[in-house]
Amino acid sequence: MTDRLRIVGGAVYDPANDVDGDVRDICIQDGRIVASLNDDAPRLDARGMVVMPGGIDIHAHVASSSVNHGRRLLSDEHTADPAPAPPQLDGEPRSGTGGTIPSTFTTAYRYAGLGYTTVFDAAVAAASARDTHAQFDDTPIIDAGFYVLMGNDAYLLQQIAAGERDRARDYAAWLLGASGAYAIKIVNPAGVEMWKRNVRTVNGIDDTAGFANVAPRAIMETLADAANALALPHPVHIHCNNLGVAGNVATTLDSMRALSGRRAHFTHLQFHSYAGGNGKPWMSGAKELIAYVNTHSEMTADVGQVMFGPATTVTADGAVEYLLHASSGRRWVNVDTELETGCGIVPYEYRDSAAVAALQWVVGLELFLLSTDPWRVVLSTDHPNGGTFTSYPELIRLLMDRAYRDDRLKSVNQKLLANTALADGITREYSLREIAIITRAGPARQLGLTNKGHLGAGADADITIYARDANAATMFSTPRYVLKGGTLVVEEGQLRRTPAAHRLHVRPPFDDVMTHDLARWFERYGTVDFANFPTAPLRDAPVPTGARG
Amino acid sequence: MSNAVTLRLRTSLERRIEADCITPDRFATASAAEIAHLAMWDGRRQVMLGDVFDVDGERSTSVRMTGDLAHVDAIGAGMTAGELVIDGPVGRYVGTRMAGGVLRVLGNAAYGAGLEMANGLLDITGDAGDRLGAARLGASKGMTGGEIIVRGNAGAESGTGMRRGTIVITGTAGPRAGTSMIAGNVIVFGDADDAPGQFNKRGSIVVFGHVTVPPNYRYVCTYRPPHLAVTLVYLRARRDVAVNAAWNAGLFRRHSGDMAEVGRGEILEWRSEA
Repeated sequence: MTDRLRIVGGAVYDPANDVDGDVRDICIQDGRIVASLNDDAPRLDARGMVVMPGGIDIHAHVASSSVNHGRRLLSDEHTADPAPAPPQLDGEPRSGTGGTIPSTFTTAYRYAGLGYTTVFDAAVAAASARDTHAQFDDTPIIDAGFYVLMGNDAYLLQQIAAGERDRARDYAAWLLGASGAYAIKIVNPAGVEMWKRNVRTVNGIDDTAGFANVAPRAIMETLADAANALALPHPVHIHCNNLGVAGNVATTLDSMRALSGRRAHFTHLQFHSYAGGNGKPWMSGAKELIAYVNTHSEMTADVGQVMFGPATTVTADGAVEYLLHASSGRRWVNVDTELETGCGIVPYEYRDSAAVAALQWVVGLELFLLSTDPWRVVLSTDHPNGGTFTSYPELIRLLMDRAYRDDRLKSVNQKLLANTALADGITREYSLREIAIITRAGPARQLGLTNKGHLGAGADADITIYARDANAATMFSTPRYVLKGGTLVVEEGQLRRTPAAHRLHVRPPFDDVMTHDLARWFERYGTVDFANFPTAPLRDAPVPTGARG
Repeated sequence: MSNAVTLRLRTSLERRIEADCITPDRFATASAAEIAHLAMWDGRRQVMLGDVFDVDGERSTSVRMTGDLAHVDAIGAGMTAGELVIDGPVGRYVGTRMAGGVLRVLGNAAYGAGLEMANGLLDITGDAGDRLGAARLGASKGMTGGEIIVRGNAGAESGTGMRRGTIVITGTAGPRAGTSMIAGNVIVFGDADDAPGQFNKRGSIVVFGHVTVPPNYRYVCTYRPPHLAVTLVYLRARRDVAVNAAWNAGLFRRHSGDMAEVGRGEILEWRSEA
């Protein structure tokens, strides 16, 4: 770690502190940003360059049992994209494999190479949290955390059915701490549970899930209230019902209305913003959906943009993966069904010559371009579902460069694009300030990370320095310098150091009485002993929650 | 400009070397020094071509390699033009993804020769290993074009996932020849006895020796397909492959399959008489 460093003369984009391209120095001491340093501190010349906080990915799949299943499925990608150890690296360079789901070290190297310093895995089954922590242990540089899956948890569903909402909250708190998670994740609430029972009866938020008679509405309400009562740094993180189905925008709006007035995060909106269906062709529902999001300041979202090229769809929503496998004819695996969730994986390719893929691409861009509040609608591709994180620079170019976007739009399949807002012409171009919001300051605020996503005194010294380039994709794919906790990770575009990273997790308080009931549940139904279920204590202290025990 | 570039293996190798830098098109404009500086992988370490080979000649698309190259992998990977002659046995993945030019192996080739090849000619005078002209493990699409001629036997799973192109094996085809073929041709002069054509969609497998037709194929007819006579003339005249004169006289039993797939593939079984 550099004890002290002064980054001199860069144009600073720090929207959280209202700094918009002003030329000023950034001072670093002992891994944190400080207000000032003595003149004798070492200097890093950033004149003519752009200085931003390190990137924060609010929703990706990088370290879970499901991505490991994906790696196992994608041996062909590994031979096609071997990742030699970075030649310039001090310390212990590690080789690996790339493709749509890179190996752990390579994931870290490539994220850092793009100027990202914090990443959250969006879907981890509690029972396999150990696996995730082990993978994160092998993911240096990147501070990481994960969201634990709860929307199809049998114990939780039973508590909700019995009207035991307090116990459900205590259980959620226990599960967060026991698995070392950062936030509560809901995936296709009740739908996955019913699909595992070979029935597909959950198509709307008031369709009940058989055995426990619980509808998605009750699950979302209970967990949103739990997250808010526990004052978690990040609210409940929701993947709605009916992902990837034409006409699903109605379900998405129903879900949002159900949680109206409550803090909640709706993820990969693009996959939930389709109109049409019921025999009618696919249409964009982005305009209607984003209009709702724009007027409801209590909710936040990420887009889940689709980018053309190879991807791997990997989600706890096994049902939707079965549909994708059946319609595309591609190989798939269906795993984790024995856990309190599901998981399906289908390698996929979005082609600009395909009508639906082109529509998905347009829907995502519409959500970005029609959003009025970049703080609440942030960048993601749901890596590796809509495209890999290495496509972020290209996505940023599409947002910043209207001429390029319009040009690209002409070369995609037009079949379903009539009457879309994008085809009608959207003039908006994102500014560097807005890009800094949707990739840094916004995710940090949504995640309740007070020390990240900004460059004010006291913040972690996670900093990315870009050389300006007329082509935004070039600029954002090759940062000149990246600092993580004050350590120069990327120097002159070369990965040089891989400091160990921190784990971001919470340990909210709960009423101990619940654990007696839970222990009985484990005794009766669990294949794992109650005492063996929690992961080992983590080295990093938990991120504080607002709730007091 | 010299007439040819010769690469002579300097010592015998203990470990496998990954030499996907050796393609004739890359040598077209390269000086001897530049050729010697091309990077190869020795295990997890990078070495330079000149550390392993003596380089003679420069700036030519005609390349000749000598020495025991059985431990050198991926020679000619992705080559698009020129002629590469390997004088002896060669390691794995020779000519993988090649898209043009001629690659001759005057000896045996190991695993994955012509893997995912797209175009050009791969001519192996000895035996070929497993997964000749096939897909990478896990990938669905193998060879997409071009010609592979093996003047010996081939290992298991020749032409797996093949999409287009032709594989000719003058000896015996190992187990599971033509598995998961999407289309394309596998022509076997010898026997193909162990489960050929499983999951074959529209591919054509021709066997002049003995073939065990799997139960998921259905006998259709006995006939004399005219295109095969043309193919045999082509192989004899243009590729100098010894063709049995009797083959033109006989008939072929046509079996459709794999019926568990779309069933538009075929196994053509040669019979000296109907």
